[in-house]
Amino acid sequence: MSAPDWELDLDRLNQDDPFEVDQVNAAHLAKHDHFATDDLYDAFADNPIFVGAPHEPALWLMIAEIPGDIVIIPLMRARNPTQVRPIGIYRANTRYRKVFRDAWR
Amino acid sequence: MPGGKHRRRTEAELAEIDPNSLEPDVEVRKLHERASKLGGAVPVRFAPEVIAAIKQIADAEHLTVSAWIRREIDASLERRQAADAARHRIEARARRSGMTTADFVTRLIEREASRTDDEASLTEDLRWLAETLSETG
Repeated sequence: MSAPDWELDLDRLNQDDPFEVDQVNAAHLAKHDHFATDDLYDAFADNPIFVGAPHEPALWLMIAEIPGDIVIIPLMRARNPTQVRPIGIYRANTRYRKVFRDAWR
Repeated sequence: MPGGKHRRRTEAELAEIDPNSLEPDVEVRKLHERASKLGGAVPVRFAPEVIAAIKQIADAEHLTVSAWIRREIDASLERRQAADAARHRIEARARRSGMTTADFVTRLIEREASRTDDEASLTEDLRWLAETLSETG
């Protein structure tokens, strides 16, 4: 298994403004499970983990707990190297919940 | 993969993939530094039963728990700020009249009461004051 084909340098992410959000990806963010852009920032602020999606070389997955839920946020490379580009917010299934719980055990 | 394995998928195509269907990489990365500076984010913990109760209400309103909490806090702040503004206006009017705030409010209430018994005719400021007084006991 290998990580996505672009580097996710967590140390370079802008802690105050880590996400590239515009009209195009904002529409994707609001498509599932009535999550919205604000949930991105809640997720990032509360101990997220990051895993690669090996079969999709352009995707990292951020998994995080927000109040009342655990979510998965697929991330693409952003234009600015200090940001990442989210393209969705999904409620995590049992397998990903376990990945998240195990990571913080 | 449509178009061959060498073709990079577009953002629109990737956005259609439910990540729950993907096999996660075994390597997990974490932020070294807690992202506490982010946009004024404040880590607030609630009891599980409180979150469960909020979640039930939020789901019925098609909101996330976070969105519901933000909305309620915004509304509470608005009420508080409006009450503070009303209190400041009344205090300023009392000072201009050379009266204490308590005496000024008493006179205002007596004047309104003498005009009509209909509570609905009270001025906006008096309504705010009444609500504020009832909230603060």
